[in-house]
Amino acid sequence: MLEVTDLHVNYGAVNAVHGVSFAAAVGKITVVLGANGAGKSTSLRAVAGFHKPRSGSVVLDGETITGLPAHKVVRRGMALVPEGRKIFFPLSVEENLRIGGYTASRSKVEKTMGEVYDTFPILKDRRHSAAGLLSGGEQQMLAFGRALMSQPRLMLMDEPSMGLAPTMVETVMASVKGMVDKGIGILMVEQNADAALELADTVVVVTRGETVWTGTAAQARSDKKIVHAMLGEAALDDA
Amino acid sequence: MSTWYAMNVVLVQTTLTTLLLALSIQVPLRFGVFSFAGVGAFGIGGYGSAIAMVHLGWSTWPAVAFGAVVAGLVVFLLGLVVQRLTGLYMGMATIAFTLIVSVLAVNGGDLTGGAMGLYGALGEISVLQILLVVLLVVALLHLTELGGMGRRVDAVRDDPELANALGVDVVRYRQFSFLVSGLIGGLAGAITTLLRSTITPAEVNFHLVILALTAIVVGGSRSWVGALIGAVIFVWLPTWIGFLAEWERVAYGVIVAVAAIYLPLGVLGVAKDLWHRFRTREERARVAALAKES
Repeated sequence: MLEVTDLHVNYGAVNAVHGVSFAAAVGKITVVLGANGAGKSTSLRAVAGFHKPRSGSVVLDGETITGLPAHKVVRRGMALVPEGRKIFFPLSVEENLRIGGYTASRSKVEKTMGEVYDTFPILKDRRHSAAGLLSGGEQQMLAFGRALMSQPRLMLMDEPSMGLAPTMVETVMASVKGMVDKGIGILMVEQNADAALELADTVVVVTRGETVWTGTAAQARSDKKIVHAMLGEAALDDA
Repeated sequence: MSTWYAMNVVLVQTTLTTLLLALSIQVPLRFGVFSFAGVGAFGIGGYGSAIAMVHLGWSTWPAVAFGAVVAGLVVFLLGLVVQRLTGLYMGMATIAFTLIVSVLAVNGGDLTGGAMGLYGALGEISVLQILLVVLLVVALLHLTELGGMGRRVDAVRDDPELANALGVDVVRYRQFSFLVSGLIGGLAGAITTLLRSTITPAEVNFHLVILALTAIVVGGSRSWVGALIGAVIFVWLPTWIGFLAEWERVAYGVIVAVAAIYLPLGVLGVAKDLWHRFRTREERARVAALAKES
């Protein structure tokens, strides 16, 4: 269980985030929605340990981890899937996964890799190819698999649908659902409200650096006014 | 062979010490740190070992170890101070460090011998002994290029933020690269000094930065093999293009410029590409043969 309360983060001289709160839990998908520049990514990155919050608290399973550096956050069971996937193209699929297993013991790496291959059979088929030869969707799954290698209870995702073809977005989102069914929790920042609302258990709307609305996906869909107001008219046109 | 060796023993020695100097610049680069502090370490190692011999009366190898350890510690501490700098700023700060070392040497009074330098520090060092030291250094560095360690070093260089997200303590890795750079640079300086019996402030200068950097750029920046190729080329090049007389420096410049533009991964990168192309052609031929059969 992750609880983020009243987070304030400065980004350089800019006060990018002032009053963001949300929660995420194992077995659930929490989606943070908001327009470009609303402070979603900054909040997520502060939780992951890349920015030191100015104030506010980040509590993971009862322990306060506010401001803990990124390489220690991973060891507490929270893994980040960065924006743009950041795969090592020249390395093979399997080598990319192995880098993700850095914090795990050697004996566990093989076992976890087996589990990742069960979750993403496509990665097993292509485990010896260079990661740069994978399609965008496959690369996103590799980024998920790499994060799974640290055996997280919670996974933080920064815009997983970015740059993917619409059909690929569906496949990737289905794989997110698959991971949740296997018992991890997800906190996802997205601009693709359409795709994200399909999966979300909880929706958090962030505008200009503040959490302005929290509710279930069903509420968000039935109360379109709310999401429209936050994301602009185009966001939910075909929902 | 033996006459060739007798004629070229100095060049062989210089190749080995240049390799060490090049490695002291290459190690931080492989960790994504644009540091030239290895050249300053060369000066500290040189002066450290000469002082240990001349003033303290130590014998050769303890003096070399002393120079290398002092250089390693100083560069490690420098790393703690400048670790937040990146790119060009890191380059400038570490070059400044190198120049400070030579300024301190000029003003060191009797301890460093001032502008005249220190004399009479003649150690007993055989080529075989240098070779053993180099082999040890290279073997340890080779381990950092293999398997999980190699992948982590690549990650720290190519995408430090991602490496961090995967649990790698990037700051600690970079601090470590400063320590290693200092130790290797110090070794290079100490061995060079005790071979020649003398060191002067003028030797610890910008030209060593250029020598080390060009060796890596031309040879290859990602592996010790590249540093070896670069060291061999730049130590032996003057003897090969000696017939050019006063045009030698122009030829040197052209070679460096061409390598920087056309061989971004150095001679080693080109060799790897050719090998890869050869393998692909073989593979294609094999597949074509299989297709014909069926």
